[in-house]
Parts: sequence; structure tokens; C-alpha cells
Amino acid sequence: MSDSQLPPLTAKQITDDLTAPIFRLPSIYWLGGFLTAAGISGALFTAVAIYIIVGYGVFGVNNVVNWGNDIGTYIYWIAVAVAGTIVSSVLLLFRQKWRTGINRATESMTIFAINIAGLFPLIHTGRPWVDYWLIPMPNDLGMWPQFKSPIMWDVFAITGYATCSVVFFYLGLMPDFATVRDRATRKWQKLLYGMLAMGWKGTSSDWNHYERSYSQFAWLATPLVIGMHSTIATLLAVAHVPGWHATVFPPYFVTGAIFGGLAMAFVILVPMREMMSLKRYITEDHFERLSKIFLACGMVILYVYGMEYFTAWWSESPMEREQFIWRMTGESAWSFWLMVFCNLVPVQLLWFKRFRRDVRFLFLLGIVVNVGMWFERYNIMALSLRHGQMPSEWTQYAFTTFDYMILAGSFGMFFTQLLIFTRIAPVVSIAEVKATLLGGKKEGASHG
Amino acid sequence: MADPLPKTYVAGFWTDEAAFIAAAGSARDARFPGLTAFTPWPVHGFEDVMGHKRSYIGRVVMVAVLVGAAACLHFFVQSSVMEWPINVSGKPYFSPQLWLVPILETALLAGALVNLLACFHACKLVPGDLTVADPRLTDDQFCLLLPVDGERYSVESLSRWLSDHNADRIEAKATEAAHV
Repeated sequence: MSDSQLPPLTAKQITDDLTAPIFRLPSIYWLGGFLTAAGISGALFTAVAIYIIVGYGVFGVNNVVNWGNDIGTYIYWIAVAVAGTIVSSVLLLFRQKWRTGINRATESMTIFAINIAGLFPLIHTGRPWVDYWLIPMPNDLGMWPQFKSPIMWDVFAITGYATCSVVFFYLGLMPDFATVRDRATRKWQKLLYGMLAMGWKGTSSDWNHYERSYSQFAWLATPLVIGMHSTIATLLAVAHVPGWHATVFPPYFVTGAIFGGLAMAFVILVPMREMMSLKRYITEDHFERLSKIFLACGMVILYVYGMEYFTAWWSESPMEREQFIWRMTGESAWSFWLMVFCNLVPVQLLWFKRFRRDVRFLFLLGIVVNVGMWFERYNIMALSLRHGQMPSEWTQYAFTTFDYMILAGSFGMFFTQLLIFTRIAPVVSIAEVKATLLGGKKEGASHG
Repeated sequence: MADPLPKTYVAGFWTDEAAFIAAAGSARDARFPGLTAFTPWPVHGFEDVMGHKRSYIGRVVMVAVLVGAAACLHFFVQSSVMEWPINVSGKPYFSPQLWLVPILETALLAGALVNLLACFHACKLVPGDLTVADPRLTDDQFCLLLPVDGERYSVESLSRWLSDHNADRIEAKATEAAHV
């Protein structure tokens, strides 16, 4: 039966549909996925444990390419996080009601990506047992961190963004926790969700304050997320490394983050929609709208890639020109062309409506673009450093087994957290979906 | 803690949002003392129907953002200019432009945390509060709760009023120190 033939949604049915996964036993697919993801995430912890015992030399970085896999992967995960905030906050500020079908899933993506991203700089320091020196507090050297340094800007940006995202996420979940609390039949569930709901009652006064608070978060999160990723970009742009030293970096990074993050949103939303029977809540209309934003970001990426090369040529700096010619023709050119293909070619199909509404295509496109965006960070970080100002410093950079382990393990950790989330909280915002679908209408409105 | 319920009250329940909003508007016009409305989802414009003022949270957050920025600037001046000045690449000790990013981030973080606490305060949310009013109030039912108060607002008159305003279900309850 197609969606249009189904009876219209009612408030009760929305509650039943969206809370059902919490109250039923996990499927064999969920268990399989969870065990696989958890197993892969074990690779990350194993690699980190060995690195702490043996030292930073287990990774492939060297004196020249001192920012390798860990910082590239860190920026990749930050970007995934950014898109979740953009969907949640920016679309809220623009009063885009369609966001209610997908904002919860993308916010969860933000939370899980940001905590993984935060691990990588801590790994990268080389001596993670003194990472607390980054926190602005007097340490055993009797010194403060250097607050003028962009590295410290990053510490502030990441901790601020992570904290704000978690708080925003929790506030959004609170009315839904109350809904789950009121439907729970087991004592431990009543207790757990009762604690999480904190006595939420839903009086008109509560909603008045709550909505104000929620929109305030959107106002706070938007500059925070743009500022955070611009900070990371500035951190590179202020360095005199050919391939980094470009004023276009902040908008480039922010747009690239939205682009890569939306690709990850496709990767998680499509299976979630299929396996959790959410086709009436995450519709093809949602995917089409996301695809349009995705395509717009893809065109900006196309422009920025071109502008990087134009600037290198226009600057008449032999080092800049050498860097970009080498990226296209050197021994690592494959990674450059893989990035170009993945990020620029398949996305052009989204000019056609048929592809924008084809969720299977979008899932595959999401995977391809994720590959491309990871290689974008690899190109920016590793390749720029490999081929710097001095030919005498040109060197090789290769992944070790431990690099592969922390990279794969980060994906395992992301999907492990995501799968746990699908079992303990509604993956679509119940209150917001009801307000969108039923608000101002008779009971039983249709979706779309 | 949550607001205590009146000792005796009459509650009317609706499943139709439009009928409920009309009834809530009439209830407000009738000036029922202690009128409380429950909705399972945020109803656009309902704050005007109930006569709620614009929430104070926005102003509190604005103050928190400014205090956060000032506190961060003060901390940087204290640590990097006054007590532990360190010459790094000849940059002046007092470099507000270089501190702009962490000051912005700290200000926004302060705003976010205060926003959450202000929301808890305004909605009277308390960790460990496990009370539940009616399970369907977070599902598909709207509710108007009218306290019983003397002859004029008796159980009978309030029930009649709710019935006249198309309530699907009417419940009269007497409680002792109960909480919604």
C-alpha cells in the first residue's frame, strides 16, 4: 500500500510509531549491526592502548607530516557534527517546518561525531596523560595555556560546541522523554525516563518558556558552529604552508562540513527510515529538500576547488603552484583525483528530480561523498605538508596498521553510539512532528 | 517542585485541537481562577490565547552571554597580562583581537548553559520529579484544569461549563497535596 492510500496519521499513532522501537526487543539486524560496529570500535581502543604504551611512533606521522591521519580524521568528524547543527538550528531559524522529521537524527549525529572528533586531538598530543594542560587552569608547570594561539581557540571552540550541542539535544528530547515515561510499563523504564523527563507536564506556560529556550539555543548554536569550523580553517590558513595559506578556507571548511555532514545524514537516515518503519515521517520530500541543499553545497565546493587552483596560479608563488601541480600529478595524485571524482561528479545527478527522490541513490551518494570528504582532509593535511616550501623536506607519508585501526574504529564508535540511541530514544521528535502535522489542523492530517 | 494541584478540581479533556483552543479562550474570558491548560505538543499562538507574557528566558540568556564574555576577557587579562605575562613572538600581552574567538565561544557557552537552567526554572523542572498527571497528556489529549472554589465554581457548574464547550471527557478529583 502506498503512503497516499494509508489512513491519515493521528496523534496516538504518531506516539505509537515513534516509541515502538524503545519498547520492543531488538531485531537480528540491529544486533548484528551493533556487534559489528562495537567490534570495529574496539580497534580504536586497542590502537590507543598500544600507542599509550609504545609511543606516538606507532602512527605514520613523521617530522614533516606531523599532522596526518589523526588531524585529518578529526576535521572529518567535526564536519559531520556541523551538518547536524545546521539542519537543527539554521533550518529552525528559517522556520523550515519540514526539519522536524529529520532534526533529531541529525542532532544525534552531531553528538556522536563531536565526541569522536574530540578524541583525535587528544590522541595527537603524543602524551595524552597530560592533555589536561589544555584546560585553562594552573598546571604543575605554573603556566597558563597560550590563549593567543589558534590551537587554544580550537580547545575553546570544541568544548563549547560539544557542551552546547549536548544541552540542545537534551532539551529537544525532554518532552519526548515524558511521552516515553507515560507509556512505559516496566518499572525501570518509568524510573529512567521519569528522571530524564524531570517532571515535564506540558502546560501552556511550560511550552511558552520551552519554545523560547529552544529558539535561543538555535541562535546560540548557529554562530558557535560556524565560528568553530572557521576557527579550525583559520588555524590552517594562518600557517605558511603551501596549500593551506588561503583566505577562502573558513567558508570553504564550513560549506564542506555541511556537504560532508549531509552525506553522512543520507547514510544514516535511509537505513533508519527503512528498518524502523519511518517512511511516513522521513519522506521523499525530506530527501528532496536535503538534496537541494546538498547540491548547492556541492556547487560551492566545485567553486572553491577551482578557486584554490586559480589563487595558486594568480599568486605567482612558485611554492603554491608547485604544491597544486604536484597534487594533480605526483605520486599521491590518485587521492586527489579520487577526492575530485567523489565530491564533484555523482552529485551533479541531483540536478534531476528523479535522483533527488531516489533514497537508494542518495544512500550510495552519501557513502561516495563521505569517502571524498575524508580524502579532501587527507589532501589538505598530509599532502600539503609532504610537499612544503623546501624541496629538501619533501618526504613520504604512509599509514601504519594503527592509523587504519583508529580510522576504522572511529566509524565503529560512531555507529555503535547511533545504534544504541535508536533503542533508547525516539529518533524523530514526537512533539515537533505532531505540532507540524497536526497543529492547526483537524486530527488525522496527512504528511507531506 | 511542580505546582501543587488545587485540592479539588475539574478537568476537561479534548482530542480536537481547534475545539480545545476555543474552549481555552472562553475559559480565559470567563476568568476562572487558577486556570491551567495542558497540551501534548506546542500549539502555535496558544500563549496569546492563554495570555502568557513573552518568556523572560531571552533576556536572561542575553545577560549570560555578556557576563560570559566579560568574565572570559577578565580571565585572559588576569592570566596573560597581569600575573603571568609571557612574550610569544613579540605579540603584546594585551591582545584582545587574538582573544576574540575564545571570548565569543565562552560567551555562547555561558548563554547555552544559563538557557538550560533558566528553562528548568521557568518550567519548574526538577531532577527526580517522577510525577505524572495523565499519561495521555503527553500523547493525544488536551486538558483544561479548573479549580473548584466556592459556590460560583462548584464541581457541577464547572462540569457543565466544560460540557458546554465540547469536552470529550470530564473528570472531577479531590486531592491532598497532590502534584500535577
